[in-house]
Amino acid sequence: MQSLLPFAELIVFAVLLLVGYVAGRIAEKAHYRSIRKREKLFERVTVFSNRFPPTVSQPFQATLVCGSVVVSQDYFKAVAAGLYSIFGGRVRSYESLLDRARRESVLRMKHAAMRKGASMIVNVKFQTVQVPGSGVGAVELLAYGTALRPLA
Amino acid sequence: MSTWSNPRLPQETINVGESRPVLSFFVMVAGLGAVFFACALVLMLFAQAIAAWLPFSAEQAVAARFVKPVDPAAEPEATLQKLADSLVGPQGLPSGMTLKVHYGALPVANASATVGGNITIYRGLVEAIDSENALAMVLAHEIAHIRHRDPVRSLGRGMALAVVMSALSAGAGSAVADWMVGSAGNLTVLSFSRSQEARADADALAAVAQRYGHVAGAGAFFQEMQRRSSAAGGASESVPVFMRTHPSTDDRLYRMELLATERRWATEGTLTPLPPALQAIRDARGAYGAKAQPGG
Repeated sequence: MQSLLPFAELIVFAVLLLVGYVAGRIAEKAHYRSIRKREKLFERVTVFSNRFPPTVSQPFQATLVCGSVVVSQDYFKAVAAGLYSIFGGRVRSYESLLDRARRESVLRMKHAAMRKGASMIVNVKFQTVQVPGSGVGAVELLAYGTALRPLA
Repeated sequence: MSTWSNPRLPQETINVGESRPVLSFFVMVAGLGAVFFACALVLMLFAQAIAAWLPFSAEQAVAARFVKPVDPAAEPEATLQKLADSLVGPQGLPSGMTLKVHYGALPVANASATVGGNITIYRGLVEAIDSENALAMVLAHEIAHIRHRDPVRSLGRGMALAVVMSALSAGAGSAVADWMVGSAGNLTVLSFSRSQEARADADALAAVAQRYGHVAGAGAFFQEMQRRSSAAGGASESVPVFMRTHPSTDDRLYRMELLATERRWATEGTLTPLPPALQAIRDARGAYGAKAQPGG
């Protein structure tokens, strides 16, 4: 045991890496399951990046809706990203993370629109900001748009 | 309103491709490790090369931290020291270089050279030889290591390794450094390269030839180690320590023979008996040694 002491740092590193990987994997799988389920659920709320609805055939009430998510990388993703920053290439460890965040933010925005009785969101935009002072690196993904509620 | 719809996203989107995070992680770690290893190697070779320029007094200062001083009057140290001094030869040692011969009362049949010109002869070695010529060969071998600054080169290499390891983890770095110059005085385990050993052997044989006028009996200790090793049948526990820290004995004996022929050194001659102080150690062995150490 005593002979392992000098390598404590390396052992802690390895444990964090393993914990990060396992926890990250479990969270990602569960999140994707939930995303797919809710994407079906909110299917009838349509989203468009156009500034105006495709056809204005009836009067609408317009309100701003938004959905925001703050995600953090896990230890494994952070270390892998550090390695990618040396060797270059697709930072695969972040691709899925940000994909989840983007889809989750749209879902939350759709949820907000549904609560307002809207069935369509136009002028949808995304914004990403890095949460300052988050030691491990967390980002906020904000989706916002104009929800249109048909008036009778 | 129902005229428009959003397409359902596929299971795998373009944004998230098939990925093997663990595989690519390990590929990158292996790449980084290779670069790290190459840097470590270069640094170690560099340190090994520049260490030889360290003044001998610096070596002595390092050694003073853990090498116990020798009482010049004590036996068998005095006898060993006298023998070592007689093997230096007429050309002497480089200026500032001194030799200190220690005696280790351990049963291991081995000898070691470490920084600061410190040589240790262990009891097991004295018990394994029966002439001064064989002892002189071993002593001259260790003197040659010191003359060529081999111990300090190894120490430099080890220290470079410690520095490299500390870049990885402070704990691992200091562990390596401690192991090299720890209070335990592990410097005795400094290892030398094959070429350093070969050079030391050649120098030692020349010193023995000069001292005794012939090289008879010079290989006696190596032959004894070889005999014990084959008697042990390769069981690593019973193979003498000497065999694990030195190159193949067959090779050494062969090269010694070759060198003797080349230089026309006499291979026959009268063996000089061990000095009384060392013979006493051998005699004391008789009481228990033969039974207690069947394999060495």
